[in-house]
Amino acid sequence: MAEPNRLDGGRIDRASPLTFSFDGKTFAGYRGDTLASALLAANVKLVGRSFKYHRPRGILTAGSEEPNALVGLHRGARHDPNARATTVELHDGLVAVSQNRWPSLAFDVMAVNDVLSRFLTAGFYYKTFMWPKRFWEKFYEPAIRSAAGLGALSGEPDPDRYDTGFLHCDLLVVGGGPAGLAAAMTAARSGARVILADEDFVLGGRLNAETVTLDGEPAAVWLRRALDELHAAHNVRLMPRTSVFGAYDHGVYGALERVADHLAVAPAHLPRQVLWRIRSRRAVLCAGATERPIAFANNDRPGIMLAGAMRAYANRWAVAADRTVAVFTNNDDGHRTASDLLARGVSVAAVIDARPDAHAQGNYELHRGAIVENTRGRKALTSVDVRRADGSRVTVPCGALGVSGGWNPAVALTCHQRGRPSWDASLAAFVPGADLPPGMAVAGAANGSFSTHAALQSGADAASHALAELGFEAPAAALPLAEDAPVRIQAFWHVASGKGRTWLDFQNDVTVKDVGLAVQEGFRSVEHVKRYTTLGMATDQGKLANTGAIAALADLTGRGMGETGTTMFRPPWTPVPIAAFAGRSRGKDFRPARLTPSHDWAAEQGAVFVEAGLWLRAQYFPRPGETHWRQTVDREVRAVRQAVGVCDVTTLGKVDVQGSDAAAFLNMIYCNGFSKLPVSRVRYGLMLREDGMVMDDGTAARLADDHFVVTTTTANAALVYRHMEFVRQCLRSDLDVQLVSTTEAWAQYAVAGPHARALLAGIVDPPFDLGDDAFPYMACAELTVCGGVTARLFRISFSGERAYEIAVPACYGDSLIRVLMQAGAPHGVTPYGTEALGVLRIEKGHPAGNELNGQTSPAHLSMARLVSTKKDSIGAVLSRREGLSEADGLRLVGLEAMDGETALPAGSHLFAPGRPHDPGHDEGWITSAAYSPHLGRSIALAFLARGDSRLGETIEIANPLQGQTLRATVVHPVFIDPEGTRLHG
Amino acid sequence: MIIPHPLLGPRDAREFVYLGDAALLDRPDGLAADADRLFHDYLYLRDNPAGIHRELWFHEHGDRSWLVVTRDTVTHAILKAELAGDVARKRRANG
Amino acid sequence: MVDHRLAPRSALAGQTSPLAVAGRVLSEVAGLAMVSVAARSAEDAAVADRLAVLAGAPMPEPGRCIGDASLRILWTGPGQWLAIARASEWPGLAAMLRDSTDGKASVVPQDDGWTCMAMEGHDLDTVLERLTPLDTRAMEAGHASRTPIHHVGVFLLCIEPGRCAHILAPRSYARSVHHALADALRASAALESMGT
Repeated sequence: MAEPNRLDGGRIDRASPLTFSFDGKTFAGYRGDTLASALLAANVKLVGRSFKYHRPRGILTAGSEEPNALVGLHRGARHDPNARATTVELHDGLVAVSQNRWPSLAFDVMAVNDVLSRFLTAGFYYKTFMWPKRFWEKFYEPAIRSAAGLGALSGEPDPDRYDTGFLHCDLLVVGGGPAGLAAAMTAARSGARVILADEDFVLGGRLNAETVTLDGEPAAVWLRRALDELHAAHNVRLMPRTSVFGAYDHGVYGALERVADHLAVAPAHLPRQVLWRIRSRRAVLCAGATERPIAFANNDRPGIMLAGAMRAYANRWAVAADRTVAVFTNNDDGHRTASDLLARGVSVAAVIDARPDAHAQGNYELHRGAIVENTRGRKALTSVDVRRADGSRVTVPCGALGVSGGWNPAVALTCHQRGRPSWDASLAAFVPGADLPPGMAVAGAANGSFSTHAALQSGADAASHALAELGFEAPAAALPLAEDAPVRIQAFWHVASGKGRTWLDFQNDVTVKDVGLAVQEGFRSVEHVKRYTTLGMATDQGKLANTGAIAALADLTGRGMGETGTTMFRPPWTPVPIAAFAGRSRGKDFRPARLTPSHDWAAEQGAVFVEAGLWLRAQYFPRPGETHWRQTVDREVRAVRQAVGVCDVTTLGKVDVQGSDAAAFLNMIYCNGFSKLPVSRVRYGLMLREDGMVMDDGTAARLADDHFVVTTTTANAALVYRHMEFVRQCLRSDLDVQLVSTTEAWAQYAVAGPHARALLAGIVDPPFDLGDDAFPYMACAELTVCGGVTARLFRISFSGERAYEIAVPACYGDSLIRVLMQAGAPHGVTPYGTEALGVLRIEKGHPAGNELNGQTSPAHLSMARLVSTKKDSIGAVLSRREGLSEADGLRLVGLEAMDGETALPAGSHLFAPGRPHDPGHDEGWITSAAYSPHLGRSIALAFLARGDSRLGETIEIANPLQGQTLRATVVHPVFIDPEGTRLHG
Repeated sequence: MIIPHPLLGPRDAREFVYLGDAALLDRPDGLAADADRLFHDYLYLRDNPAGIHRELWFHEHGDRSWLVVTRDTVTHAILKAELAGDVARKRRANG
Repeated sequence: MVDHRLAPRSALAGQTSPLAVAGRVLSEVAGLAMVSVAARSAEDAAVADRLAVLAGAPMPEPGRCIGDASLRILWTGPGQWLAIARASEWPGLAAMLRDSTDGKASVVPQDDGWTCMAMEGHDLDTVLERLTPLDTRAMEAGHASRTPIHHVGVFLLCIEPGRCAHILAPRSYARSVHHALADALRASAALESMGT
């Protein structure tokens, strides 16, 4: 029979049968099943092997707290390890495999670890694999690495899409059980914006798992009505399959919505999962409670599960854990499992209740004051050994044992902002502490209100209260009559007698004895015990293990549960895929790409592009026949120095500075002076950080008395703008100055070389005079080009040649580069990219980003005289401090390779010849390097101690990363035209 | 984190860039005789309170205003947010 | 001298524009002139008054815009506004603004510094909630705010709640923003096709 354990009824859709495979074998199930329920129906008890000892394990729970039934889903690139079979929504064609076993689940070679277990106890990591030392890297670590972990990644890129999003609401209800539904219904009627999220694929929480009645009818009836009402309310957003995993500052919650995981075939473009940031003004946590087990010898056999899960499988999924079951409990709730299963025709062999005064809730054998001492059945439970109150022993044959040690309110989200829960002895459970995240209330089982009535009432009350705080009127919703059974429990954590390991953490294979070992070694704090034993550190984060461990620790250290306390709770509550955090920011979309106005044109020319921050810039323009980038770049550099070249420099930051105090403002942000800069002139500006280091450099062009255009380097554009606004708003609010960023509004091209003026003469509209007298070096002007298009012209040079920068409104940028090429054709115009741009400025000794790396001062750049002593400016004072301006400090120099062709690696450090290459003898480093076609050798710029008095010296260059040592001659950093005659034409 | 912008209302912190202690508003006079010492203290000496802290945030993806935000560094609660320009002008007016 | 003429070109040239996805359309609003106006010290109110005369309505509050497709004015900061107009209907807008504010403001042309995209259709909030931290469902016509969309600072203007929104992206980012908007449109369409 395909499903020997399937019962009648349940909340599955028998009209929608499905097939799926597990470890290559095909099984049947229905829509509404989880992978776990369908496997149990097929009597598959063995579903995994434990992490350390590879012990056979079965399904323990019916929820996201599952530690054992971790499977790998899907084939190929979509393979998803460590999925909890208990929460996997079954769909047709689902492929699942067990994990952590080789060659098979039934026969796992690594089970040898179980035999060696006494050597592998907690803390063994710290005591083994120590000797011989050299074996660690070669043998031990690789071996441990391949044995470690549970599931395996596919190793292929994830083909699915993920998305991120932002939601806003007045009230966030976390959990869609009776408390959450009552809260949502109350809030819905008030008109407030409500979001109700539940990690399950159907709403209702334990109403789906229990046989409680509401208003005398099966819970399903009221549930249907409640959901209809909520679906119809336009101000309510229902989010099933959504785990709220974290409570962050200021009412922000993180939630993961599984949009497509349950679909056999998802529509294209549908994201598989969405990570939501939910901003809520108030929240009600109705996350329910998770049951905890009692620990005893060999309590981890397949077939042993939580009692509440056992009846959930029976009631919701119509699955019997086995045809003959037993129950071990310390509270009344365990008895509900027995009576529910009996009512469904399952044989209940016995209920073993640790409490001497327990009462039966049905017609089954009850052993009061009794405990389970041991179990049998390696791959599936066959019987349990019971020691009765009078000391006699009996063996109870059964295929499944439901264990109930009580219920833990799901308090995690209440503790995500440094809160701790508090111990409630009457419930024998940790409940939310006094310090809740602001705006959060707790209701239902999460708050210790375990009965159905209490859940409904507390949910409605919490919502009413929260809404009243927000100013909403919330008429109390009529709540159905429901059971209100009191909690009757006697704390009982583990069985001390009995031979065999007593498991606390099933996922990390940690026993009660391991906790004792930790205490023995001196680890008494619950945080230390966690790390020493690894209890609570697996993917389930100890949801079933923590309380039992705290109890063991409390016992061993003579403290109470409250005093022993819990470890710190941190998000996420359940695992969130990294891909979900990334959303669409992956691959090419990791960051946006900024394109220059000439981008398409450059692509047409076959340019090779480079990423400069977010920008894509043309790096060089290879011509047919050129096989190496050096050929191209050398050609571009020669073309600029011999004829004329054009380069897109739009990416440099541009800031429009206006106001009656514009010049005074520039005097503040630049260390050199600007008050006396005449209109229609440009000046180089050196910008310091307040600590005296150079932050950026650029130019300021004066278009009018009260109007400047400031440029920055590409990399620092945003930083400099932010800094300028800081000075304007915070430090000099007395100045009348306004700033507008105009980087995007203007397309700007450098036109450089001896024929630059001739080229521009072809596009500049008369009567503008380009002659050197009317428009000398460092002039600027507003004019029109190409028959009336607004433009700005700046005569500045980065290359050291006669050069101009021409700017037009960005929409004309594409057109202008084409026109410049046309107009320049008779003059031998060559487009050049960032690579040639770099070579040219290195040849000219111009500092750029590599030299202005935040560690260098004006003195290092031989620009100390630029820092005005007549005015206050940012950084001036500290730029003059001893450490930055000492006479024997670093100075910018040039280096010429002795062996002409060998590249001088940027980043190498400099040493006097013959000195050891160590930090004690370090004399500086190379900042920028290039091959100079002009000089026919490799050159570099570098900072060298006392460099300006060492011209002509030989210096040794060390590149230990590549095992290279070179020699170079120290020269003046301006390799070309040091008098600057070419600049002036 | 949500920052209550005085003009725009509560805004996601991802719209902002953090600079540091609002003490940076009290920039010394660069031409003063003991400017060296004053600037050293201004830049490098900082209280690091577990509790109320006044700090500077820049609304980069917003209105480009600098804000002075009063925030509890332990609970993260934000008690106040003012336009830094207003704070600076008030200080100037008070001498 | 050869006669060289310059022709304007959209930042979205080469992209599929307009782009239609399941009843929603993403298109470029072209032909716009844009000018920044920043009031000089202590002139905020005076400048606002003069701009109001030009625009025929008082200047918008923080987070708002006034006007229509012919001329819109956004609040961009204390004493700062961005005027967006159909260039054909407002030729010489920058000069007009300079004249009307008469030295009390710094006027900076921004033409084509921003690319304006219109998203039109039904239930736009299901698209926008994947893109911006703004509470778009609470936005009414005339609400306008700067906001990050996939790491890019854009302006989002609510033209008609749920039915029409304008997104202004800095020119260099236009294609990336267009791509992000298109992706969100497709994801929303896929979700809606599931009929949940």
